Amino acid sequence: MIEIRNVSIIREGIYILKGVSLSIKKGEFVAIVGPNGAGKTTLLDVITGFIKPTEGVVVINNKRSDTKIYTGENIGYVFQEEYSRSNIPLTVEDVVCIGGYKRSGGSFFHLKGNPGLIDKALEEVGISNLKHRNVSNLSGGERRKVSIARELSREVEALLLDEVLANLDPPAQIDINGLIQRLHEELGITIVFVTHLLHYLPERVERIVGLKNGEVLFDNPRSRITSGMLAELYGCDENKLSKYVGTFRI
Amino acid sequence: MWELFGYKFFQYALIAALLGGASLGIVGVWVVLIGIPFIGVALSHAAFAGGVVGMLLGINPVFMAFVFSLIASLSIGPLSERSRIEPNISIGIIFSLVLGIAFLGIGFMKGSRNEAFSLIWGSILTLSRWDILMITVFFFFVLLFLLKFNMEIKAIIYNKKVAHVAGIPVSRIFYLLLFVTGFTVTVNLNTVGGLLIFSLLINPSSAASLIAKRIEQMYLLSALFGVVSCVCGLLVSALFNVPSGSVIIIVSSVIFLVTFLLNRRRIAEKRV
Repeated sequence: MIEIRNVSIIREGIYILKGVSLSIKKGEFVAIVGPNGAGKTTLLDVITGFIKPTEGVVVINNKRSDTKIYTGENIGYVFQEEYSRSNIPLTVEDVVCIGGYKRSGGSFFHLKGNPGLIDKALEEVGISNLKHRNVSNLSGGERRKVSIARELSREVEALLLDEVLANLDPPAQIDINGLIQRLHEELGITIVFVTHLLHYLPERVERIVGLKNGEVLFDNPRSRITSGMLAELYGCDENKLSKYVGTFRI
Repeated sequence: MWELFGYKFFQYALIAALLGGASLGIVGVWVVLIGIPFIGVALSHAAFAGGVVGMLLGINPVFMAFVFSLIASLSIGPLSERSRIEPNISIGIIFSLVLGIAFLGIGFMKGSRNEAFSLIWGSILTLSRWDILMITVFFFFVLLFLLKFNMEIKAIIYNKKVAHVAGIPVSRIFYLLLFVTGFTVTVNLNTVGGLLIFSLLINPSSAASLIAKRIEQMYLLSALFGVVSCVCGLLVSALFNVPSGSVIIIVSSVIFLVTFLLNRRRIAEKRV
């Protein structure tokens, strides 16, 4: 479904991504891990076409994303922090509506006239009761659910999730983690899950990709990942890392 | 006071206050929520520079003001995107350039410079039939633009990256926003003047942002505050023979202050 072929991003002579090749099949649950500045978010930006690769190509469902053809229709993207202001006069319905832009033929009037898609997405993530609430007054967990609902409102095949558990309290992390796993299990949505929380990888993660300095250090099934590989990825002592994250549930 | 309403110049001024105040109030919502407040200063001074260049070259100053405002508004977007600098920085660069052009033009002028300076201070009581026609046309243009692109604008205000992923042509809509803002500022330049129009973009919408829960409420309140500022300024100016632009801006600042004081508890609660 998502083919990344030898992609490099070069800025001011520095490689942000270097010769990255990845193939993500429909229905897979892939975690991408790596230290800060490894290029994880840049990789997601390249997949969605937000950043054009300096070298290489990204192919989504047999369409090259570096052409002018819009390829993001089937790919949802949830960012770590989407709120540029503390006070935004928008409701949950307004934000979820954004996701269905292309599906409504480029006009929001159509989507407004067909609230079925929005209601269905809100119901899927369990926040139908928040539909008319101002987004500025929501908790961190509720905000992440609104973002996920927004992407579901265009019935995406894949969800790219960038640190969606960051800055959430444990109950909210458990809640969002459960929601993501349910979307994978029940709707068959392909999940690409970027995270730092090694001790809290969703149980359904099948494959882990380690990214370091813009390069793929390892790309293995979960069962073949060792604490030594992760210690090498983060460039720290294996025992110290084990103590910090507890026993790896990998 | 009532006899004033019988005079043509006052009727024109009243129309300008109502429609200009409302359109600046609406445009101000975009400026405040997208976080580019300085744009009003840059565009109004671009229009001022255009007017000065027009006077020097013997071309209609209003036409040249439009041309300069258009060039400035269409330069800000690409400049910030292609050079990867903040929009507010590119606005600052354009602002300093047009200010230099304006004062260079004034330096070359022979004879009275009053006409050029009237673009800075504005004079709501001396508007022509042509000015009123333009203000009216652009008021409806702003309304139509808002109705057509309301949801795209909401998406850009929320998060440009999210809007891009959803397939919204973010750059195109953003340039259109700058373009409409530039033209709205230019047609209303004579009402409050280039130096003060900035406040009429910022104060009503900032006051509205303190109490509005939905963006539609914010548009309505901001337009209302803009109209109240302009009409109060006009009446005080006509009754006490004081500069209209200054009074309009003071009234808009007072509206913001009163709104803030009346809602300070709610604003403090929101921050916790």
